[in-house]
Amino acid sequence: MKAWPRAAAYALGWLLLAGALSWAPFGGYATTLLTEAIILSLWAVSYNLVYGYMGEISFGHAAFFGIGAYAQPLLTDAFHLPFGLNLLLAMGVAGAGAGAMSLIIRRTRGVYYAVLTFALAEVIFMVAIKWTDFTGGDNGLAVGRAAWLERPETYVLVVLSVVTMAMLALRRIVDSPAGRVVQAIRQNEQRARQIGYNTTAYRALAFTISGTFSGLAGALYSPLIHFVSPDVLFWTSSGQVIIMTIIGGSAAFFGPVLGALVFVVLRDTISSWSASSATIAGIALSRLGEHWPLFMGVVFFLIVVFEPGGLVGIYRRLRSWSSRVGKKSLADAIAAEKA
Amino acid sequence: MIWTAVINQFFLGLSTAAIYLLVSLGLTMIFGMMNVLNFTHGVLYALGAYGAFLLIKLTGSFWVALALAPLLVATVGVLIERISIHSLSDRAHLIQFLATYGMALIVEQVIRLVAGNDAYPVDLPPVFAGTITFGAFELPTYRVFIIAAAAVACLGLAALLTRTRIGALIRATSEDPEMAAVLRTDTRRVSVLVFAGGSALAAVGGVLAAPVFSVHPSMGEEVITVAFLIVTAGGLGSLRGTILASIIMGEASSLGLLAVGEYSDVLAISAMAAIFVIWPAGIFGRRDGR
Repeated sequence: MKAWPRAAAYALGWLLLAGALSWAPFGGYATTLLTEAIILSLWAVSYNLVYGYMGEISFGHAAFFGIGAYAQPLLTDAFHLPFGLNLLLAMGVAGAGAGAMSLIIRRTRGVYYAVLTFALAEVIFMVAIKWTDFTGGDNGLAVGRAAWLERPETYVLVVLSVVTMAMLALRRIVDSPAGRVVQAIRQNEQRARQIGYNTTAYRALAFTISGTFSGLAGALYSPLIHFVSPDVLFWTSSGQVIIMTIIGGSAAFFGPVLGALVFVVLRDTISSWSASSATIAGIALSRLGEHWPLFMGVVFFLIVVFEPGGLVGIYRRLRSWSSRVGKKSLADAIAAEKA
Repeated sequence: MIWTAVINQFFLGLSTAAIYLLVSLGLTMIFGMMNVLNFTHGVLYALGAYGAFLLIKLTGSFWVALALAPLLVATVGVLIERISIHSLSDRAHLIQFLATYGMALIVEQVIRLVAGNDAYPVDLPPVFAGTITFGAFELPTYRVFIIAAAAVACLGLAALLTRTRIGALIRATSEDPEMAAVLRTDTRRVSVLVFAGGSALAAVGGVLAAPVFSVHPSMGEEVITVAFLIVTAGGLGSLRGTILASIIMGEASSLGLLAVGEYSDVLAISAMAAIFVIWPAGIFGRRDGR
């Protein structure tokens, strides 16, 4: 019975968020930026299935995000399906790619896993560059949006709804028995295998699901920026989803969402410096503005070195610290009363 | 004559493989010692190329650049190792790997901040401007020099590892650091030495590549992809694996040009991926990748 008020509170919160996002005076630019953050959140949460839950580093997730991003305009041109159906199809294409890759990588672990995913994604990146007739090569493709989706305030609502549904599905998957097996594999694969689980199949499944939802994120992304180019397939793009996931925190389901928000806000704030005329320590702020990845690198590095649990880890540390401090002062108060 | 084209292409492939090899040798040495795949290796290569550009500007001599740039880069490498690997020595190797990734991002952006996004051309030293004729073949002298340099580096490294005392210490430390430490090896010093040497080799690769590809800020992130593939496909920590994989990669992209045209890079990377499918830990690798 207690679950219902909670669900109602979530629903109310969601409606408030949706209302705020679709509020036109909020401005087209900020809306677009938030839409991007929502899409990247989905990507990072799907990525975390492999990183946080299964415990492997994939350096190839740009492939699935990119396949989704390319599939969106290419499928639209080919079949002229409605937006939602097209989205599902694009997701399926990315999922098929992830499934195929999961078979190829099934015997690798650790560093080899990172490098092989990286290599396979690089193959797709290079094909996208060279196969000009199909992908537009380096110039990329223009991506249209159906007339009813053209307003940013409409598109953000569609994105928010799709991402919410995808997140709910991912949450269910993570909490399902299969999701538990994947987490057991992270802790000790050999033990999970000896209990009788086909760990190779579960690993492949987790990777495929992760790639499928990354593809969904990609398919939402290219219509947002009205463009897709091989950049989304380059390995540095895989690096970005790793950065988002780790900055946010891989130990909590929604941790990567925080990371995506920080990523988008930090990037936008620092890039906006390039219009500024101030200086810091003799370096023009406008020059630093061009180099926002520098700041991202510094934040990422500091997090990896000092708190690999990311922002979630920092929050948990603060909470346990404050509860310790709270208990201590209570104990002091009791002691003082006794005296 | 189709064979002339094939042999010319084979030769060009060897010179590409030579640059890959110089970069990858250092990477695999460092992995053998610390079990960390060092992401900053690419930017160290880039720093070597920038160092060459700067030193040639200042002194006018390619040889001074070839001697000094690796020394400077080795210093930077040791500094990086201190911050992003040694200070994290009690953590999982994948965390160290990610830390070096963060460090690589930072260094690349610092390069861009200081030197800008433009590419700088580096002139060939005049000695190497011409070609050498072997019977029916005319080979660019500089390419021959690169191949010779890589061969010398390989032989030198092999001799160092198998014929000298310090080489024995290096092998002992990477084989079993605890036992080496018990036998009073200063393992920390040996590690730093290996890291410095590996960084210097990356820089030598950068200096030699500078006249061929010109110097630009994304050269690090381009070469690191290739170097990772080579050292893992060869089997991490294995020198002969690295040599073999460099040649496969260089030749696949060079000879592949004759077979599949502009898709030769795709062929080269697919060849590397195929190696992993057959040998999940690389050709000469040990099974555990963690």
